[in-house]
Amino acid sequence: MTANRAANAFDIDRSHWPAGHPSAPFGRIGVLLLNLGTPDGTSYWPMRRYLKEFLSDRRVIEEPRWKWWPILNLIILTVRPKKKGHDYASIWNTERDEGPLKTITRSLAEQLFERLAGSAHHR
Amino acid sequence: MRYANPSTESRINALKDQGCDRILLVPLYPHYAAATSATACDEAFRALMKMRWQPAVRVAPSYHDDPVYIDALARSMTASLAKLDFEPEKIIATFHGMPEKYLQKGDPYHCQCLKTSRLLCEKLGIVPDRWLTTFQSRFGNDPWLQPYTDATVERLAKDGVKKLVLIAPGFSADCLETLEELDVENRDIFENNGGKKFAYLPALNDSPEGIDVIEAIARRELMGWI
Repeated sequence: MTANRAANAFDIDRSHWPAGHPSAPFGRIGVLLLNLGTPDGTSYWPMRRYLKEFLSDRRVIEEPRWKWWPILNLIILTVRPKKKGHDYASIWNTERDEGPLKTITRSLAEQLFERLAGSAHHR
Repeated sequence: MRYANPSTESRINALKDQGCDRILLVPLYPHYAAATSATACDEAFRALMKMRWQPAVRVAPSYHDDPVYIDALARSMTASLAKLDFEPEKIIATFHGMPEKYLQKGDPYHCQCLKTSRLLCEKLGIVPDRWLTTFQSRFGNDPWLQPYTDATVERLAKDGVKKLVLIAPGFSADCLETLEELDVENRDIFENNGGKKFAYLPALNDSPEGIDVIEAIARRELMGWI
């Protein structure tokens, strides 16, 4: 979500710029909503990719690498993608082929833009 | 999104490409935890590390005790409770758990969850005897924040509680941990142990109340910029 700080933020006089000056847009404000995420699909490989990314985050699992790596790779990532994929399939937004967290978060962002409209331009 | 798509980096780059030289990051976690809010910001900062011309960045703080948030939860809950065909004997406010040792390392998460729960109970005027606070989604063998949600649901059912309501104020959007773990698994636990009426009340999600909260936070944190 973006907002212009000045009404003419994109109306910059570039006539004095030297030739070959790189395009450098500026003057707008963005709002970025951050959420956890959701797998790209419920089958084995998307689930495995998601779980690996999530459970490799040292902010999430603070165990030392040498201790955690074999547990994650040899046990969890062989067993859990199938089970979790099954769980995800039961709540999946099949119409948009995505997890509900993504559907809800997108809708939140779109409606927030509507509320801020006037001072904001959605991209 | 911190994991999978759309990635935080792709969205920050998109904002920058559109000319954003100021960016407000709003982690959609009411309660601060290193494992959620901090890692979401880390990921955003990693994207900034690769930029020639970095935008100025602000981060919205946790909003666990913000009156706007407590009020939105109370309004949403009141509306959901009114739709039920029963009056719950007990209400459980359940929050995602974390290893107990993270609390001992200084994570404010546990305290913030308890505060939300207390403020919400007070706001709704519910007698504390009917209100419990628990932690869910335990993973691995280490002790996590307690009491555990599933064990509490089982105990209540075995103690003769017939009508139970679960709410999960820490989740800004419903996901596997609420729709499946709470509404399916914990419902099963309750009903298999003698419980009769069970309801999980939806998260704020993209309801008008949910948007009220994020709008209030965004407007407050954008002060001086707009």
